[in-house]
This record gives sequence, structure tokens and C-alpha cells, in this order.
Amino acid sequence: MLKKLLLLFSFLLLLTETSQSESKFDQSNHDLRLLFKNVHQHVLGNGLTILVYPRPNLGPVFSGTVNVRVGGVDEPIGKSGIAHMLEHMAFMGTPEIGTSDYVAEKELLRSLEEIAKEQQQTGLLTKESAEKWSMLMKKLEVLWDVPSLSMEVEKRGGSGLNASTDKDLTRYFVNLPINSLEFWFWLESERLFNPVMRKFYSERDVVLEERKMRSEDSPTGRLWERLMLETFDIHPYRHPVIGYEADIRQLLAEETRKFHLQYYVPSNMVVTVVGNVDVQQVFRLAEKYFGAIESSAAPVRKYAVEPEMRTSKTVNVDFDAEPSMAIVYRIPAYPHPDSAAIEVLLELLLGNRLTPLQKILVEQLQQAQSVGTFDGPGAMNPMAQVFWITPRSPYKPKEVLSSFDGILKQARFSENELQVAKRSIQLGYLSGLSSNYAIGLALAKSQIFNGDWRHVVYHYDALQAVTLEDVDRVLDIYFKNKPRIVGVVGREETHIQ
Amino acid sequence: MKKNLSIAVFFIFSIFLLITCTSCSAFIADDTKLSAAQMLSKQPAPLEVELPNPSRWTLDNGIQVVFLEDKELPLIDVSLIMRSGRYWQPDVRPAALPALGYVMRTGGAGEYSSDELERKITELGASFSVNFGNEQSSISFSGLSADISDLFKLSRMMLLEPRLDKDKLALWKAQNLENIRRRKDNPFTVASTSFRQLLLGEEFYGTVLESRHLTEIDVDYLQSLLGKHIRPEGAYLVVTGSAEEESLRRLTEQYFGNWAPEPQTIALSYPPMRHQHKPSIVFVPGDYAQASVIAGTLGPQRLPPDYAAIDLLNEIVGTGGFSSRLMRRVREELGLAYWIGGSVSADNPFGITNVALQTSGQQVGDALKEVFMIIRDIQQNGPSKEEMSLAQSSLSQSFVFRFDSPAKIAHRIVNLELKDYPPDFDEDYVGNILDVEQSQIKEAAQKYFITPNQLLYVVVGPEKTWELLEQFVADNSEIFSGIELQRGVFNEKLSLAPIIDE
Repeated sequence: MLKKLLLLFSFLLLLTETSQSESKFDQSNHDLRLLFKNVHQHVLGNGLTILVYPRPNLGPVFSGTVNVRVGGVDEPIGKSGIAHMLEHMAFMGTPEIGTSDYVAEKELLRSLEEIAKEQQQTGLLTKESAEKWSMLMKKLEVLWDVPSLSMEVEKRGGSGLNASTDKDLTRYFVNLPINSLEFWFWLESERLFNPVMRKFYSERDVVLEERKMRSEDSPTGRLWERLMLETFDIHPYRHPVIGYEADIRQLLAEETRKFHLQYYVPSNMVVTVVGNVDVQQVFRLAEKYFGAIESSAAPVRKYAVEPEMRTSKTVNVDFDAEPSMAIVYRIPAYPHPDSAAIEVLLELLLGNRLTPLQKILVEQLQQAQSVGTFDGPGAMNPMAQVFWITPRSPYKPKEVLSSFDGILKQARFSENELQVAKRSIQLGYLSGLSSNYAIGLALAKSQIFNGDWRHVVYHYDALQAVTLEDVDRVLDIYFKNKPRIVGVVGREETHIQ
Repeated sequence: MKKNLSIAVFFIFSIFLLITCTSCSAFIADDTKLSAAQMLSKQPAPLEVELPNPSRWTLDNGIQVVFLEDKELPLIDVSLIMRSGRYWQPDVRPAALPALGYVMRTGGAGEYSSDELERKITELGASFSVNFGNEQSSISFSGLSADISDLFKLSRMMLLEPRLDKDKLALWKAQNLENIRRRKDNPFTVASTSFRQLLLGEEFYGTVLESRHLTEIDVDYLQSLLGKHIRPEGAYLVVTGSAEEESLRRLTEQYFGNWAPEPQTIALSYPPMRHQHKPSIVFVPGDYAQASVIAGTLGPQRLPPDYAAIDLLNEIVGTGGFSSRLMRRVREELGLAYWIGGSVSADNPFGITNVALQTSGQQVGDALKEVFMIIRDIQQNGPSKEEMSLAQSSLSQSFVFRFDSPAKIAHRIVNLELKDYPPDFDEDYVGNILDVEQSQIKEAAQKYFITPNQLLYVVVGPEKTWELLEQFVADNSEIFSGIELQRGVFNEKLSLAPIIDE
């Protein structure tokens, strides 16, 4: 009986059965067309977009994400780290969760803020203010019960409750059983539209610790921060998302709340729900909880225009550890016509053990332990392509660089290799469709940055349409002998002299 | 025969039933927003979960095939899991099994050289892996369903006709040499490697892979292991994805059914654990900004009778996210650690119980004292009613995630069988969790977290932490009675400095 039901399902879901006579490579486009049938979109009156991808063969679970088009790139000068602080605040609760008396708390927080402002403006804290601060904190601590937000999620079987702040995107995600679907809508509509700047000043200290751990005490973190400063001269992508230490120390709760009001507006957000859910029910709940939120003006953005990179630079970062290396180029972001060709080029250069960077650099010359690549640091222009190399002892970064250049210079690809690269891309997309997390992320990013979730498929189609001529062309235009930033982090003897 | 899970967890694989299910109060038709008070006091509705049974059949040589169809995507996932591993062949040299997995995967097979095989795999867009573990070893592959015959053909070749290319072995050695060099760059790797070494002993269970081990193996040696480690007796072939059962039966029989087992008895018994660890505090200095701390001891064997109490204890103390006691107190309230966790972990032939954290060098003592107080409190007073209720709710509501996809369902069934779990374990789990009393958690805390002076501590941090540690131990002599504070040095592994008697 169950088997018959499953077969009935699969008939309903996979409306395009591929025939045996089609070549295996042609099958690819049909598989991704699954998305066109499975993704359901609804836009609320206030501009918030909901995307739902039902997966009825899963257990009674779903993954919910709320995505906000805001990040490090939107921060005013001197306020780096504010978007990330806001992410932390979203876990501190709401007027109803995390406090035993919000009315009293609000007053105390207001008084606390006066003292914080005073310290920021004058640079000092008088003895009187310091005493008052202690007294206020004591009273607040009695009222606070911050773990109660995550507790409410855990109690309902939630897993993976987390968030991330990037250069241009802030995301909140969790997995829950479907019997908590309404709870999730309620929780996100409360905490993300009405967060309380609770424990702001102690969280500021936690963030300083986090900064130490990720950026200062980590060799790769240090290298990354330097690389971004060198790759971009004026565009805000150059600044660290976690913020500079001096900026973090000066952040205030009130200005963070103002930043929130500016960017956490419904038209600036996309919600995704992926899992064993009923689409209409999800839309009804979205209307019920997110629909009531007032629309606000979309944020006005103006970013400095980054000029082209004209000269190469070398960056050496001192750290007592075995070295890591990076090579950074500037490239155009999707949907620029060259963007797909670049992705395919990279698959050809290092996508499997037989590709030249892997075969020559890692296996034959044995100058690298591993080589990988990714684009970033954000999703928009100006975009960079980063090659990350773990060198092998004895560490000779100049030789690694020379070999890398030699490989790029001699790179020639066959039609068969191109097909292999496309096949690998196809499998990558398909396996992504078995992950609730990956589906939610792909849909949200395309909706937010390209204006339409369908770009997940258009992008894929663009990749499959790339020719060998395209590949050769972008290798020439963006990589061969082009300006770049080269960075090494490690002890002095491993630097590029 | 359908398998039913009792209590609040049933699972229905049918969209029609979901729509018409009137008892599923997750589907509220009315549009009135719930108030906070209403929302927070509402109990989640029971989930209807009825797990599908996979198709099972046995090949001529005893391999059990477990197939659960999942037609959502045109992909297939296969794992052949064998009952072989380091624990059953303790005389195998330390580097051999990891190397063997790598060389079988990359070194060519049958008529194909290393590059030729790689080409075949990449043309299919498939992925393959070979792994030799402690108790189980496997070959796994995935790719397009349309390529299923080719995938089976290649996997059989890789498993039974590996070419063990010597260049690939050399590459593996060189890469592992580099990994060994880089070990000390990560303070937590230093801490966990040292901890295992001291707790389990280097004779066998706590052996650390060192550069000298890499020179002990060559292709001939690896070749000699194939017969012992690649066996069908007691093995499982787990298949999920889009496939037709009829053709799958043919393929499995064709490619794995005629793999004849060599006549040998499988003596699956664990090598004795002769090492007796000494409770002590070992400090490893390094150029690290923070201190990484691990404190622990041996844990229970697999599936102890009080496993439900242990799962709840873990949830309450250290694995339950931000509301666990360790996180709440040490990170949230006192800001003493950016991360902290702890648990009692059951395994065979022994488990490990520990608490681990990262903090500034100056705060190691303060953080440890808080940890001791948290554990002592649970040992003396047990958990609060709220904590019990939260943990029980959390474990029972999240239980469904273990079965949330066909792949997870199939793998879980096989995993539990390989580990000799009782067949109704999952059916009884939630009920057993809800039946646990507060006193049982108290007892489990006493039994497994024992007392601070019986534990082994490893602290990895900047040199200045040493003095603070000395002071901390001296100031808390009643807690640390009988425990020695020692220094160690870490290169590829931990070496203890000799203790000089005054």
C-alpha cells in the first residue's frame, strides 16, 4: 500500500520522465526544471517574499530561514560590526521571551543607555556613573532570562538554531518538526521585527572575544582580513564583518536599534520554508504573522564605486604557524555574461584530481598540500576570486606562485573535459536538492541578489551553455598576467621576499 | 509488516493523510494570531510517524542488502559496510588502514590505471570513497541513477581488484607528513590528541599517527591486508535513491553476490585495554592566545541500561545548546568561555566522559571551578523539574530528525544492527526518555562524572598559564589531592617532561 502511494507521488512530482533514448547529458536541464514546479512564491502586502519548497518524502520536519539584505557592506564608517551585533541581539529574546518584566526592563535599559552614551562621547566613566551602571546591571540581571529563547526552540525539538552575518546578507535558520510551524512564524515575526537590545554591552564583550578567536588568533583569519583591505581600496567590502576592535568597543544599543529599523523592513527580506509542509498553510501563517508588520521605506544604499585593480601586491602576515597562501583576482559577479564561464573555468582548473592545479601542483610537483577556490567576499560587485593554497614543506611560496602561473599559462582544455566539468556541476546542483539548508540558501540568494529565485535555474542553464571559447576568453581577460593580490601568513622564513 | 513507533511519534508518508488529518493541530485554520502567552503555553501536537520498511534480501555470500527507495531525485547512493577494522586486527601497523583506504580509492583498479579510473569516475560525475575504521569499513558511491550499472561495476573493481599504485601511496605519505607537521598549530587538536594518548595509552587505543609510522608501510604490506579486511561475512549493502528493485536485485547479485568469502572465523573481540591512566593535570605550552582545556575519564560501554538517563544528563549538562548548564553558567552568565561542552559518551570497548572548553589563560582556574560546582550540584541535588521537562521535551520532539529522510532511515537500521541494538530500540526510545526520574539522573551524574581528583586534565595554552595553574592547584589542594601537575611538550604527539623529585 505504502509502495503504491510512493509511486503515485513520484508520478505527480516528476512530471517529466526522461526517456531512455535521451543522452545522459541532456537529462540535466529537466532535473533542474523540478524547481519550477516545486517552488511556490507569495509576496505579502508589505513586500515580504515567501518561498516554499515542499518535500513530501521527508519526515515531518522543515527548515525555516529568514534572510535580510543587510550586512557589513551597509555599515556607516566607524560602526563596523553593527550588523553582526544585531544578529547577536536577535537571540536575546523579545518583550515576551527572555524577561520577567519588560516594562521595568525598558526603563532600566534606557538609563543604562544614557551612561553608555556618556562614556562613548566623553571617553570616560565618572565614579558616580560607574556605580549607577553596577546598580542598574544588578537590577537587570534579576529580570533577564536570556537562554529562554533558544530553550523554547529546543523544547520543541529544534536543531541547528543559528544565524550568520555576511558582507551583504544576514540569515537566521533553524530545523523544526512541522508541529511547530506556527510557533516558528510567531517567533521570527516577534524577535526579528521587535528585538530587544538586551545584554547589549556584555554581548559586545562576547563579540570582542569572537573577533579575537576568528580574526586575531587565527592565522587564516588574519590573512583574510589583510587580503580584503588590499583587494578593495574604497568599497566597504574591504571591512571585516565582525568589525574593527575600536569600532566594536564604541557601539551603542540605541544606534544598533536604529540600524535595525532601517534594514529589517519586510520588502528587504525573504523567508524560505523547505520540508514536509503544506504550501497553502505556510502562506496563511506567513500572512497571519508577517502580514501584520507594517511596510517601511526600502533602505537607500549608496556604495563607493571600486576602481579596477591596476597593480599587483604582495602581503606577508606574521604568525607562528605553518603557512597558508592566497591569490586574489577581481572578477565580475553573476549575472555578468562572463561569470558562468569563469565558474566552468575553475571547475576545469581544479575541480577533480585530474585537473591541472590538482594534478601538477599537488600530485606531481608536490608543492601544495591542497588548493581550493571560492568567490566573494559578498554576492555583488565588486567580486573577487580567491585561490587558497596550503603549501607543502619545504615552503617556497615564490615557487608555488611560479608553478601556478605556469599552469594557467599552459591551460588547454578538451571538449571531453568541458563535458566532465558540466557533469560535475550538474551533480553538484542535484545533490544540493537533497539538502533543506542548501535549497533554502540558493532560493533566498537568487531572490535577494538577482530579484528572482528562478535565477537558480537560469544560472545553471548559463553554466551548461559555456563553450571552450568562453573558457579561453575569460582565462585571458581575468587571470593570465592580470593584477592580483598574493598573501602569505606564517613565520618570516615562509614569507614571499 | 509496518514498523510502528509508539508514543507521540508516528510518521505518515502520504500527502493525502496530512491534508485530512484532523488531529494534527499544527494546521490551524483560523486566522487569529496567538498571543505570546498562548503560543508559549501550547504543547506541540503529537506527530504521526509511520516508518516505511526497506526492502531486504540476502546475497549468496551472506551480504544483506537494505534498499529504501527515494524517487525525489534521479540519484543513487550506495554503501557497502563490512565488519572489519582496526579493532579486529590489532597487529596492523598504525598507518596501514588509513593509507589503504586512500590508495584503494585513488590507485586504480582492474584494467584501469589510477588516472584512467579517475577519468571514468569524473565522466560519470560520481563520487566514491573507501574508508577503514575501527569496527567497520566501507566503500561508498553516489551518482546518477541512470549510471547505476557502471557505478556498481567500478565499485566492485575498486574493492576486489585494487591496483595499489605505489605513487599514490607515496603521495598519501607526503600529505600525512604535512598534516602531522601542522597538528600543533591547532591548540584544540593538541589538547584532544594529548588527552586520548594519556587516557587510552599508546599501546593500542591511544596510538597517535607519527611520521615514523609512515615509513613502516609499503605496497606489499597493504596488499597482504586485503584478504583479512575485505570480507563479505556479516556485511550490509545499503541503497537509497531512485532505483528499480528488480534491476537492483540483479545488479547486487551480479557484482557482489559471487564474491566468495575466504574460509575464516571472524573473531570480533576487542583487544584488551591494559593501560591504566593516572589522574593528573598535564600542561602543554605553546604560542596560543587562549587556553584549551579537556577534563575527563573513561565512559560506559555501548548501550548501558541507564542510557536514557545518560542522554538526559548530557542534554541538561552539556549538549543541550544554550540552555545546557555548562553554556548557561560558564559562557552566558560569567562570560568565562566562548565555547564549552561536555558529555558522557558510551562506546565499545569503552566510552569517554569529558568536559572541554576554551578560555583565556588567566581564567582556566575560574572556569574549572564553575564546572566542578555544576557537576557537584547535579550529583547532589539532581536536575530541577524544569530542566527535566525541557530535556525530555527536547529529546522526544527532536527524535523525528533521526528518520527525516529515506537515507537516514536506511542507514540507521543498519547501524543499529551492526552495533547489536535490540530491534525495538527506536520504538521504545521516547517512552524510556519520558519514564526517567530525577533521581536516576543524579545517580548517572555520580557514576559517570565521578570526582575531580579522579579525572585526567589537559591544558594547552600560553606559557604564562603554567604559573596560574600551579597556584590554582595549590589553592585547591582538597579538590586535587593526589593529582600531579606536569608539563608536557607537543611536537607530533605529547611527550611528558620527566618529574624530578625534590
